Amino acid sequence: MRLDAAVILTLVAMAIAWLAWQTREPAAPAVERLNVQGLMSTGGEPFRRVTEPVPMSFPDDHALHPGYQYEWWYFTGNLDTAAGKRLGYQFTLFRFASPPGEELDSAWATNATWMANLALSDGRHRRFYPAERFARSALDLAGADQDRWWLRDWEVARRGGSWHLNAEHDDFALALELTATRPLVLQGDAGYSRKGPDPGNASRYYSIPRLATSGTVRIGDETLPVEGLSWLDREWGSNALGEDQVGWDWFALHLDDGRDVMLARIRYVDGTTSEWSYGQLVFPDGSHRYLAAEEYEATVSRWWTDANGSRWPLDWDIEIPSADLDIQTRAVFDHQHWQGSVDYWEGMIDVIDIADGRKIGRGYLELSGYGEG
Amino acid sequence: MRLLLESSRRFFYRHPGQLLLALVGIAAGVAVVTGVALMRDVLIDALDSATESLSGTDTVRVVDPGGALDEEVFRQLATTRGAPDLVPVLSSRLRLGNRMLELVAIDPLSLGPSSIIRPAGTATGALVGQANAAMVTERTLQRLDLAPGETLEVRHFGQTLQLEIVAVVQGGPALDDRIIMDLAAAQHLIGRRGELSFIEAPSSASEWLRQQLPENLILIDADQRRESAASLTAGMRANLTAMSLLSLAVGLFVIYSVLAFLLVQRRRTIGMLRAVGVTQGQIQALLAMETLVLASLGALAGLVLGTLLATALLDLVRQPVAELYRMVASAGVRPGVGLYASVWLLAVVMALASVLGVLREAQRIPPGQLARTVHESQYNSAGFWQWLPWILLILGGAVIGMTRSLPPVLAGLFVMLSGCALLAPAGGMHLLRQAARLAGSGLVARAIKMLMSSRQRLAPAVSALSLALALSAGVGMMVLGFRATVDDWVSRLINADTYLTVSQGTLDSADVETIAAWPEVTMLTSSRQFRLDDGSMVVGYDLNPVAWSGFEWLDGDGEAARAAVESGAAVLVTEPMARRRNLDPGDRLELVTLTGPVDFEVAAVYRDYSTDRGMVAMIGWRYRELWEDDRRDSIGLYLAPDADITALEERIASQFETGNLTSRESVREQTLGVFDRTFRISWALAILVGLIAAIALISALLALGLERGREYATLRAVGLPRRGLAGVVLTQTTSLAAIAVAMAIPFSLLIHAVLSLAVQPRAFGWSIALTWPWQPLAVLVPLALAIGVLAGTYPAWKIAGRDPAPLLRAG
Repeated sequence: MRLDAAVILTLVAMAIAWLAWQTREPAAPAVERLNVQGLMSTGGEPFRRVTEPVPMSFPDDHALHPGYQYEWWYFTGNLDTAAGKRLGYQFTLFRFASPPGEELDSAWATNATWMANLALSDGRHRRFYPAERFARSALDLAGADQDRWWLRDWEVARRGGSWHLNAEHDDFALALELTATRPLVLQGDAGYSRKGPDPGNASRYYSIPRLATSGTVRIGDETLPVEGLSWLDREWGSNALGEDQVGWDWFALHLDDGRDVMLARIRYVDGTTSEWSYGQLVFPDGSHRYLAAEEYEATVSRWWTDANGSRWPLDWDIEIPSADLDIQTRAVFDHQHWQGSVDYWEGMIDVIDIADGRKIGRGYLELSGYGEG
Repeated sequence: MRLLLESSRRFFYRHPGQLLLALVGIAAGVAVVTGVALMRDVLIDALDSATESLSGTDTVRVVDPGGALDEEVFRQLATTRGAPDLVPVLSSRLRLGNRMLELVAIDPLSLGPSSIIRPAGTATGALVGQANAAMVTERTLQRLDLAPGETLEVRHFGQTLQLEIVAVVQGGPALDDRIIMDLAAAQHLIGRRGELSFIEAPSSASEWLRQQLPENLILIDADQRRESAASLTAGMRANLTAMSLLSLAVGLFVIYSVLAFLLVQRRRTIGMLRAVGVTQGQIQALLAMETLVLASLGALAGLVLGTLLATALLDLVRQPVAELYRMVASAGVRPGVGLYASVWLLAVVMALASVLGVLREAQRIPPGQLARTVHESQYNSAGFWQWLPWILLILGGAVIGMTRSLPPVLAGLFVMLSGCALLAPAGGMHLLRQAARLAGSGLVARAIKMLMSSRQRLAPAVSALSLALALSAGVGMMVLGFRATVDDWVSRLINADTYLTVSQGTLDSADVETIAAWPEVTMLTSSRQFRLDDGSMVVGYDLNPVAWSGFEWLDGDGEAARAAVESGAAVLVTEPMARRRNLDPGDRLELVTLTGPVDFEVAAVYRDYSTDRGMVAMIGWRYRELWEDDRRDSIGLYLAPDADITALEERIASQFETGNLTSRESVREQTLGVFDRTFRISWALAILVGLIAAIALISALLALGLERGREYATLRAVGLPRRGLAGVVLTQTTSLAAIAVAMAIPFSLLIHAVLSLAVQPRAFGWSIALTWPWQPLAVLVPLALAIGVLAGTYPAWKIAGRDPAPLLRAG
């Protein structure tokens, strides 16, 4: 090709490229993630700390506790449809307080941010439906009192002895009635759940481990009657995690023999188990026993890698000699992965007796601190 | 064909200047058309692109037609079961010096997943909870010459706000000049507790919203918003379109002139090619191919230049749009592939069409012809061609006279300009003949006669030049005439000594009574405006006899009208209103008031330039009754001759915390300031057209000089000194500029008249009193003559310096 033709073609190509560049659509910004572990380990001065056991009273303590940095209302549960279809759900309200700002002449002025996470796991189709919402603690857009916990139109209301959960998103909805079948359990030392070396690395923590659940679940246009078991966790505090603690692996298991097991394995940056890990064994009569870190051993039996390359330990071998349990937990399916503002894994699992391979229960697993952010 | 292409390649190598001129000519024309098209689009997208890009596309809006939306509506909707993602928005205008910015306050936590601001993101964290925290895009940061962390001082209705840029938000041009704040901080800062401007929701939620909304609220979808933006800016866009069509016309003449000139230069080559057996068809194909390549490349360059031009000139359009229509348009153009492709194609096709004549002429070059012997006489033939310009002028005039809508008027103007373009060469030649006769038989006469013999060659250049000059001058005259009219109008209308406004909240009847009792004040006027759904205004006036004399009646009997209006039964309408709704005095007009539809008689039509959407004026008490609105936007104070201004100001300060007095003179200045900013784009385009004309002129002059080489050589050979020859060339170029100017004067008057009397009334609805400002001509005439002299200097120097012998031998 002649030199002049080459020069002209180059100029033409440059002009066309420049014009094409002008017609581009603005790129979608990267997702900014909320670092819940970060929020839990960087409490500022203005927040109250949990440093020792104090008596709790109900229903007062169902309501929010102002002054603490974070608080959550956490439902998870395994459900069955009439046709034997397996479903799992999660409904969580998080409240993150902000340090006091300027006094503003507006009803929108706020001292806290609420986040609601709603998810449905469809076991048969191995589909995960997550939905996330935020609101400020203003204009009654979100809140929690003794009888009602809500964010916009998603709410849990206490009527009589039951909780009524109603939450609806574009392609799925939950309408469930949850009734406690055993008493509330104060975790740790009478609700004082210590998680780190400093006495202030602690939260106030109680659970209702077994709630008989019934109602309907809508997936797309299909509304299905469901029944099952749920677990409620309530926790609040400030600066709960120690500085080198990066996350936790939380198990809530409903065993067929009527026992409930909760394990919270707190991890250090290097992946080792913190001595501040803990657990709880609940018996059918409602009595319960604290499990110290050294009373159980949990080892990963299978890792799953998500699209971003983060690795998640979905299956575990767990040994609790004092409870005579040698079990494996298996994720019902892998992709129960939250990629909203927080990157975590929360999903339904099966409990297998390692000795004979029999399914002896169901539960929920939460993995935090493995993803981006 | 390969050899032919090689010959044209070699030609352009030898004459890079010609190549450049051809490319620049085409590029300049295309650039103006592209630039204007891009700016027009920005005006249409202006209204809602900002919040759309914040909360996701395809949205609907909940608004309160009566004004601000109560935030309680948001709470109600958001907590109702089945609620979609709703985003509460409060927006307001901010001012930074002469620049208009838009405050967009949102609740970042209400934004859905399709939003560009993440509720959980660091930006949200930085924004929420701080009274003066704001964020902007990277582009806006650069435009405002700010860095993150710096403080921005803006004005909001007379109040100064200090905003700290705490974060940079990602986003496209739609967020240009937007200051994004948290709703709580914004309400606090601008004192609008409890108020929202609207609620944005995904359009899929329309049905749900319709069921939930209280009766007084309405839902507006994206198409309706776009339509309303389009109709708001229709007048301004029409003006821009007119300018771009005119530029296109000039650009086409430039293209023709440049290509015709290329042909002239290669007459010798073509003659030789014909002699060695190249057919007419091959020659035509070659020239068509050249045109295609030149036009393609030039048009491509034009697209690039046009995009840059639009980016550079956009502020001239954005500013008045923000001031007149309260829309902050994005500061960047958003070109589409479709627009680029269609402009490019248009330019190439037009270029090919415009050289058809040149191709025909090339066909006529006989084999072996090495010198110029064009039969000029055939172009002097009488008949249809002689009458065509007049036919076009009359046809265009008839179209303009007969229609009430804008597009045919623009088409008519285009036809008239074509007529002018055709008329220019003939008229110019006539002038040259007269000049030659006056000049007698000297060198000047000889120079002019030589010029006259190149008539055919000069025709496109004279057309392009006179048209471009006329356009620049005509637009200038229209703008100045319009300005004089507006000045006259505002000076009549604004006859109180000073005007009181308050920056937050409003005045009411009690305030009026208080002020009326002050010793410094002799009389008052007051007014209150209400915006109707279609963007037109209702204004309730309380006027005194002096204020009444400020109306200029365009239709109807003023005295009778006053009596009818004061009785409450009749209203006055502005000229744009009368045109829009086709109203005459005596007609009935139904207005939808707060208390239901009410029928009024139209008493008279008055002159008004405050809004092109139209305005209805009624007596204050009737307005207050029908709209249950006791407030006033401003009060005009007529002061006693010995009034103590300082005492008055003190009274105002003690009575009204944010009270502000504006003198008559500064109201006038502000009005004219807005006017001037509105028409800066017209001036800019007029200057661009002038530049294109300069290119036309230079190409014509170069053609002239080069083509006449042999005759100049003869003059030198018969003893004309170099200086004399330079004089001949200069005389010719100056004469060329002079005839173009001479023809441009009547054309410019015509353009001025059409723009003032036909285009403005149809674009904006108002008429302009036709005056004849002479200033544009006073600037352009000497300027064009000076360019003629300057542009002649180079060929004169070059030609005078040449050795005549080779040129003589060549013939």
